[in-house]
Amino acid sequence: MKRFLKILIAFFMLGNYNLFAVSSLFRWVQYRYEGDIQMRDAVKQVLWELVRITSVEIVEEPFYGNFDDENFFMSPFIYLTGKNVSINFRTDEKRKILSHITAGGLWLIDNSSENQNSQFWISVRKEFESIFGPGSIKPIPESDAIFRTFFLLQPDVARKFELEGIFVDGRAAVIFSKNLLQNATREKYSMRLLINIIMFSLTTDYKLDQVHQPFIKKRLR
Amino acid sequence: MKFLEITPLKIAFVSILFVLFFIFSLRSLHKAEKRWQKVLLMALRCISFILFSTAFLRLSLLKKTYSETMGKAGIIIDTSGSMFAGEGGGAINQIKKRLGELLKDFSSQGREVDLFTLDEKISPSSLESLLSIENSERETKILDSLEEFIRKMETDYDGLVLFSDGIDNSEKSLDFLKEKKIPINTVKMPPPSKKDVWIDRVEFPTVAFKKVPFSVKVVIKSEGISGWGKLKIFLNGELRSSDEIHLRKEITVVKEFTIDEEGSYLLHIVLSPFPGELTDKNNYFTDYFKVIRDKIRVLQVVGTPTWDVRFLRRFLKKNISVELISFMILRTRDDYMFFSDNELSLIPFPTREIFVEAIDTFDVVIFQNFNYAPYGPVDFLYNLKRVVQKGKTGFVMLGGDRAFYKGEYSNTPVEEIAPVRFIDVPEPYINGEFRAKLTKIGEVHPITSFLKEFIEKLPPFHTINLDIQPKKDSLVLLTDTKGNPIIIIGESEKGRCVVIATNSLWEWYFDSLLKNGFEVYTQLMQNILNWVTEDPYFKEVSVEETGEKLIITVRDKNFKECKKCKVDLKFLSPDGKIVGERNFETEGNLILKKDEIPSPSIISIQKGGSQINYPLKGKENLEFKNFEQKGKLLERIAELSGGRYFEFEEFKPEKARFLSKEKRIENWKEIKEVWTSSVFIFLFFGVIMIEWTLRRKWGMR
Repeated sequence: MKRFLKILIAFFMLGNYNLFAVSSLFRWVQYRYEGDIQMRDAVKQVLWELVRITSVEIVEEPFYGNFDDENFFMSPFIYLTGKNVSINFRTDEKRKILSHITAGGLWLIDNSSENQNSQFWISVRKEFESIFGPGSIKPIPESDAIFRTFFLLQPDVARKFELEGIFVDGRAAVIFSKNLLQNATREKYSMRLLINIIMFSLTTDYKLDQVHQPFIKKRLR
Repeated sequence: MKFLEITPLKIAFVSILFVLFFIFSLRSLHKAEKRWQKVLLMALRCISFILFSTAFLRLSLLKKTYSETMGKAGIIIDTSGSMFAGEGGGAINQIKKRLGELLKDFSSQGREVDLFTLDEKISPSSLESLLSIENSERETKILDSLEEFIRKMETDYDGLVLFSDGIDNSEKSLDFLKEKKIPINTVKMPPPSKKDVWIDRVEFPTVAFKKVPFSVKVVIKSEGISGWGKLKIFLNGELRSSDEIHLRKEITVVKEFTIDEEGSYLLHIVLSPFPGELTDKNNYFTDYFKVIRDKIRVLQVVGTPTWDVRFLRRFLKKNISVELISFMILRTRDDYMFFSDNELSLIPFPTREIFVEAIDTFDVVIFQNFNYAPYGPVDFLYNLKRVVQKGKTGFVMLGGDRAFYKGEYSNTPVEEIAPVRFIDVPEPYINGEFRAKLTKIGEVHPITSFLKEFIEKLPPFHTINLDIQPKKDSLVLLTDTKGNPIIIIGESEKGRCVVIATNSLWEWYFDSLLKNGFEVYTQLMQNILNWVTEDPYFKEVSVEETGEKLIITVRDKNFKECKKCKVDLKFLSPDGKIVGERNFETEGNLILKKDEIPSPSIISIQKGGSQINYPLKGKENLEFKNFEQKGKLLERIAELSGGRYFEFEEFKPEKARFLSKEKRIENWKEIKEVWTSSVFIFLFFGVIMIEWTLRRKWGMR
């Protein structure tokens, strides 16, 4: 009954039937909050490229939701973006984020503002540091699997993105990027990096397996 | 001086007598005229009473005397196996010839002798039984048995004489000889003829790893013999190598072996006998080692990256007992292809490397939503079938839209080994909510029985494959609530296969972790890995050795205790010959007494299609290892104990060293009772006569 009411409210208030169905396929899941930015066209373009280029199969419709939505945390990939609105998680929400990431989930935090001191950027970093400890956000080295899960991004290209991350169990479990989704629609390498990050969420460190190393080393400049 | 018969009763009797005597004496003395007469008579009477009492209580004089006697000697004769080796029946025969004469010599010296034999312990013997011993294969334990003999010795021997060749397999040190000083005279028997060939030592790992080559190094030594011989090496009764060797003073043979199955193995090495060698009993070597798996080598082949792939890889990568090789199809022929190689990190799918060159090296092959057709001909799947059916590799197939029938596996070798048929249905792979349910077999089978307490709480799967149909002899462990099979297991000849008809299993992993619950997924996948790789816990037959018993546990296919299961046992000698057979109809456990089984041997246990070999370790006999005296042992025994060392020919009883006679003192007591002496008799009767005379003189009666 509670679930049915939720659907009704969502339908009438948001004008959008948006229930999360668990799937084994990749689905773009974005964290929804008051004042967020939903770049639906950009997401569609990225997903279209993903399907066109790779063997990854997807659930076409992106999902916008948060902790209130049933099964929200059953997506191992969550995208969170913003510009001028601060992000504040409650303590129980922080606990859920920690559990999700420890279980193997991946968060991509993308600053949609050109301003490096935007409210969103400062607050979201602070919130994640409060979960994983101060100083837990570190630069992601250009040798990380993220830069070679599908496309091979040369070290000089990888460095330009200035990706940062929080590492859990040796993998980047929270990735901090700057305007990645927006740039992906108009810039080749941003698109490639975004596809790599999606691939990374599905295959993790597969490309670091020994069998790939001779090929990758040969292709690196 | 001592009263010999002083008892409370006698003291009481004497006391009462004295009181009565005193009263009557006093009354009879009233006739005496003067007081001094009374006192004198009373004193004389008391003296006579005291003298009577000392006689009555047997007052005696004790005296120590000394005598010298000659103590006993113990003669210990080594009757272990090595004493019988060599020409003319070995060293023991030389002792037998001289033994009678030696005993006479001891006797003529006035020394008594006890005879003992020595092998693994020292036992009392006699001349007759010693002369009748014809052969022995027992080990020599000189120091072990001497220590025990001296510790428990009841007779106080003056010394011991030990006849031996000095070949010893004891573990004790010589220190005990310093504690109890008893001279041990050692007589060294001449060593047997030096012509011999023997396996001097064998180096091999006590634990080897499954599918990893290991070497066995055999060092053969020879004295006075050369020529060609044959060296055979058996593993659990199976001849694994046979080589012609050219014998020199010392040669080393190194052989390499690889074993595909875990378990205990009996290593048996046989060197052919050479003409004229001292004994061929040291041409054999038998010992045991274990084969365990180092890591399970898992090949994960993936058709497309999904969350199911991501979490299975996470489980396998985190598992320290797994060496994972993953191949994921990240791009198909249908995808956009126009990138240069340098722009991508992709490598060509190594079909040949996997399915031809390396397929034998994997313990488990996992096809996860993988359709083989675009990547190689069906011929490659025959290699997979071969290794699975040989029992070398387990096979796991997980569902998805590219698996089973949709993966075009119908009528392929994969369908032959899988526990299901791949069938054409209108909806081969569907989405929805599918709650899992354990079947009756699933509730007891070790792969899934642990799920019983969690199954109600676990989230439903969201996908299921319907394009499968379990084969007749397969076991369905898990279904959805409508009965569609989800986990199916089966055997293909010697191999084991598992089919998981969904690609939503990851939801259990992710969900259980999010709720901080039990890692159901991890446990389930670990059980599947263990089952397909035939971890000993998942075998239908298992053997446990406890003390005197061997417990064989037999389970049926569903891993329930077997009711009226037919079990065939074969006992094989180390070189693989059948030395005994038994057939049983058992329920659950079969208990065998170890001493009823010939050892060393290999017990081959067969229950239906399941068969294991279990080597039963016998007692290791080091006696014939080589014929070298252990580091001047006999000299050292003699030196430390205060005895003397002799070569056999020069030994004479009078030369042996025993404890000196002065020390052999025994004392005893000479008893002389006082009343028997003439002085006592004279004194006693003298006192009575004086008293009587005085009484008469003084006019008394």
